[in-house]
Amino acid sequence: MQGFFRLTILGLLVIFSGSLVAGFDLNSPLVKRKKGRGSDFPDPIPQGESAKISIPIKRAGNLILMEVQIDSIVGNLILDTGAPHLVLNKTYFRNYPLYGNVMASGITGGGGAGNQTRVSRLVVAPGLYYSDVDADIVPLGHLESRKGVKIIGLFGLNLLKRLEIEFHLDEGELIIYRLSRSGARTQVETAEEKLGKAKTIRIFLENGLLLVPVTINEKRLRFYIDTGAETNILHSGSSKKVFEKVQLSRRTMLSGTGKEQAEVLSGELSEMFVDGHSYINMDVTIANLNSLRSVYDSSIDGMLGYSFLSRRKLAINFMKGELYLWD
Amino acid sequence: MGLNHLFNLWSFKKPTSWIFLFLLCLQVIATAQPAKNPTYTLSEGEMLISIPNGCDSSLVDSLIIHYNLQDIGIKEGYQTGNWTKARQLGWVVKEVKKSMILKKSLSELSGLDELKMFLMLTSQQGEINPGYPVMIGPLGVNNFKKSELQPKFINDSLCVFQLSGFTQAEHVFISGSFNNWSTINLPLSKTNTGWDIELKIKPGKHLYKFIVDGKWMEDPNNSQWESDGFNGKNSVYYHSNVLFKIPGYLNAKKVILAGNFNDWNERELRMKLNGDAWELPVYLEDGTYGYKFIVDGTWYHDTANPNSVSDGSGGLNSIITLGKPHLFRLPGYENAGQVRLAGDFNAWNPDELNLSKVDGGWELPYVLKPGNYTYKYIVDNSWILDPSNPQTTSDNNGIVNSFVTIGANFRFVLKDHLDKKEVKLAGDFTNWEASALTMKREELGWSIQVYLSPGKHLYKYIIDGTWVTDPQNPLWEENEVGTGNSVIWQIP
Repeated sequence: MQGFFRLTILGLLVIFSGSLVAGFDLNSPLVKRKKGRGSDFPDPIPQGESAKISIPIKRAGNLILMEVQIDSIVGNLILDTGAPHLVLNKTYFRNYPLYGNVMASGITGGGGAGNQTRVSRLVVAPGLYYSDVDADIVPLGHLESRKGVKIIGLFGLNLLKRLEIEFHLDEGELIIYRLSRSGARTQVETAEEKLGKAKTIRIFLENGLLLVPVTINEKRLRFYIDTGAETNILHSGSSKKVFEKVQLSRRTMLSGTGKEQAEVLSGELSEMFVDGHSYINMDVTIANLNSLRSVYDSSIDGMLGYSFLSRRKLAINFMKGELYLWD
Repeated sequence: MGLNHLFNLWSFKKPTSWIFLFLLCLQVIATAQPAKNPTYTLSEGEMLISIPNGCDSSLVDSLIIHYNLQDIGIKEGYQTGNWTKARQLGWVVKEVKKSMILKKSLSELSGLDELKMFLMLTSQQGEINPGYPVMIGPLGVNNFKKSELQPKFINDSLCVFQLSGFTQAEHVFISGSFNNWSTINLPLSKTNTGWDIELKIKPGKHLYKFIVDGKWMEDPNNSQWESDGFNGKNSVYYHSNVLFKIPGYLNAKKVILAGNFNDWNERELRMKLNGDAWELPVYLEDGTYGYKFIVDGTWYHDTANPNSVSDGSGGLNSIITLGKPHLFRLPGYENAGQVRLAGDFNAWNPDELNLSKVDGGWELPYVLKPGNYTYKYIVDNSWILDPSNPQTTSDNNGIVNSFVTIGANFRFVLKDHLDKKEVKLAGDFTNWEASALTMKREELGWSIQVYLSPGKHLYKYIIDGTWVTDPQNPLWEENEVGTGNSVIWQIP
């Protein structure tokens, strides 16, 4: 599958706002983040007995799916660090009581109508669950139709903040570690389980984004990790030196609402480094991230998605803000 | 080689030699220049299209097609010098050093929101119904390493899957096409030697994996697998619906089953001795098949099966028919010379299926596997709808055809509304054709049975011309016209 025809999830929050069905008016994203902050919902606390949980994941295209139970509803959630918190598919949570603007936080866009709710219990695995989790409700019907699997929502960033996740995408497995207050694994580790040769890279949680320092052609850039993005994205305003490492493969026209057509480019990034670890020939889509940059007041240069996560074994400690990369 | 040769031949003292060498160098320099290919690159934050003057127009065509640049009017500009279209689209066009250069800032690209909408709406649809098995040919036979550990066939709808070992594991699940690949709803129970689970299952092909303490694993006892699309394997199990059996021949060394379901292959389907008979359980799709047994090289028909036809060599082929034939019947037309049937089930071939003349009309019993089909009759050379079937649907070109469901697996019921004149059903399974399926008025409401493929389906009722979502189904989603569609997930 060409990287170009992939989906990034943060966009879903926008795509599937009610405004989409009214004719692709994309001016009012449903889930907005308040400038300078991530989710304004309280971070849910992981509960349960297991210190280490192995989760069998499924994939639809390059989306990472975990099957969970939310109250009485069973279905798949997309692991999506690009979403600030739990987001639920309206199809299955239509009858949940809604509240809006209660937090007065600015998370809810779309004209102030309430689209927030609270679920009593979210069970990820027998030994890992959350209680009383706040969530946004948005229509995700188009996505599950497109992907052919039942998708009941997005497992967003604030659910991960007290966890460490090891990605084994080749084996279809995530290993989740519970963390102590200091951010250390609560599991007594065997020698094999210790991080071993993994290199630790400091990452930053800023404005609800997981920022990673990246180097392309000796230029130091800031990318954020979006586990819900099916491809990597590079900001079109990056410097000439950065684009020297990009080989274009295709240009595609996109029709917006009433606007003239806009261009989307896809290509291959020949080399990128994350703290000395090289990533060769990764799919990349080139986009103008100015709107995102303005919301976050941040100098984001791009987004790292599935093709980054699947390239080599890696783990993220969301509490300490550390990325571990294995050779 | 050529240059060395020339240097040897010519004396450099002669002025003519120097002139020749100078000209030669010019030629070498000229030919050493990069090929004049048109290019599309990124440079200094801009998209840059470069078309060298005089370059081959086929190279320009290739560039346009490769990068999808058709809308810019490059070909027209290159041929006529008129670049108005490109300029209207925001491209700056200049001639620089014998090349036409088109530049456009990347900041004109769409924003992230639009980009993502685009990616969503154009993502390929090939992955719909991931992991649902596809039959290649009508026959499926299992291939397990240890027969005592293969799924135990209990009856047509029940079997026991087993996993040997892993007794230290805490949880083992089975996940497959039979449970929509749920990772949590089919836990195995621990036995003395491993794990097992009794499953409700339909005859047919199934894909599955085990999940041992969170880790996916193919069935280690199953030699038959397909790629799971992610560097892993899905194990393949056929839940059989036919047991081929030939009693006796207890001293035979090799007994083979052969039929038109496997092109009469004389080696492929080896039967096993079980007590006093040779047996082979297989899954066969609906249809009519001829077969024989080959006992140590000698062909025999199945004496226990009364249905047989001549094999054309003085012997008999046994015949087995699976599935209930649907009776295509056209009443009347008693003066017609010929009535034929064509539909999407036979690629609309008009010359394949002839109806027989019977009292009061024409008939053809025909076995079709479960599905929704469209068809027409051909009376002499006129294509007509089935006059006795009110169900019709139109194809993408607006051509109306008769519609029939074989092996219906879902019943839509709309309670009440008995004061209405007509209720119809439309959905993705009828291409949203408004006049497609007329529901039947019953004592308590309206109903219709259809076949739904595994996966998600959207539908609506049309009550006396008004489209409504199913009032009895809490699941619905927004649609592009601002109303809603009811949602069903059909389990395979």
